[in-house]
Amino acid sequence: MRPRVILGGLLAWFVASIVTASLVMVIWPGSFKLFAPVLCPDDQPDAYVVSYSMQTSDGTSTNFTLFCMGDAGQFTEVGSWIPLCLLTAAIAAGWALLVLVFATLAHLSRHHRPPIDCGGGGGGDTAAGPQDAPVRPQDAPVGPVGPQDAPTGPQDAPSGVPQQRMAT
Amino acid sequence: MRDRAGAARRVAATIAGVLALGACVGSIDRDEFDDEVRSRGGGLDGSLVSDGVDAVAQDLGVEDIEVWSVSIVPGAVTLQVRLPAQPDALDSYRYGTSGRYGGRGLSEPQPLSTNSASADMESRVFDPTAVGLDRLDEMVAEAIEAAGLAGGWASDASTTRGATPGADVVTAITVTDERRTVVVTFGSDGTLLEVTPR
Repeated sequence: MRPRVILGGLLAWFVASIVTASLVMVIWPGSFKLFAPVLCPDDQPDAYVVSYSMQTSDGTSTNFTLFCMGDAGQFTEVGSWIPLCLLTAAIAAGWALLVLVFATLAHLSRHHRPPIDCGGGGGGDTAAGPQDAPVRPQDAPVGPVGPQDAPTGPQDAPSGVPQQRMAT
Repeated sequence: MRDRAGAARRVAATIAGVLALGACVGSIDRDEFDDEVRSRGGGLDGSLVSDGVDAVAQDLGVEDIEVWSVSIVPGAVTLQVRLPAQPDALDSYRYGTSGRYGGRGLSEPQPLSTNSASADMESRVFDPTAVGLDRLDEMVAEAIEAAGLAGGWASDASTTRGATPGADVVTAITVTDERRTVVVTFGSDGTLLEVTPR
């Protein structure tokens, strides 16, 4: 794989993780509490997320801070950044897992493509589309896809699902 | 085309709605947090004192420090510390938990005016580790019970030596509810000395 593709993928992964973590934090600030077991002292196991709203020149700004509390009310302020970093890391791991699962599925389906049944049937969910569209070249030779495939061919489509068209 | 624009608007409206409705799920505001702290006893933390003393000693580069007073509030302790290099001068250090980056930390020292105090500095300063503050958590629980205020909490504690010559170092814990305040004092050995309604 080309270095540019790898770099682009890593950048997309990084940005997607940060954006998702920020959205999760805004919608569900209580997600910070998930990290209390690793961030809170043993004698202060109860986690609270406190929201602070401040008036700024741009409007109202709210930030969320994780606190740990003990039985007698003694508390420690963990802050915002460490829980947010952990949340981002957890979400990045989730994205990686998701991509891995989809890539595996795509790989499996590409290498175990079922024979095309030209007589109809089995294609009920692909009925949409013009019926007279030219049938795509089927079944490119199985094997590593190399740069020789670079010209925009149908096999470069990102979908890993085998495309079937009903022949009429 | 119109369908696509409509769908985009619907998605945007849904996201805005989720953000508006969902914002703050699982979080509380600072007043609710303070109420929770008070319902548990006030949040005066003995470990802050020992950690604060260690942090100041490290900052000054000495093994032991001498202090004029120790003041404890929820989440923080303030120490008025005699400077080893300038024995007639005091600096105020605050050690506590606050800030977006979290954790506990020592503030920059603030110089204190000591015009009248410097005269009897030697007789008033004390070793903060030898005046019963290692029992602060027990003292707070005892003070709340001794104050007899239903729903009362310990709002602050202060440790100083009395002004009379040879006076003991005492810790005064203020217990309050929404209407009354009681000060409970303890000696340097941690025994309860006095319960004084204010």
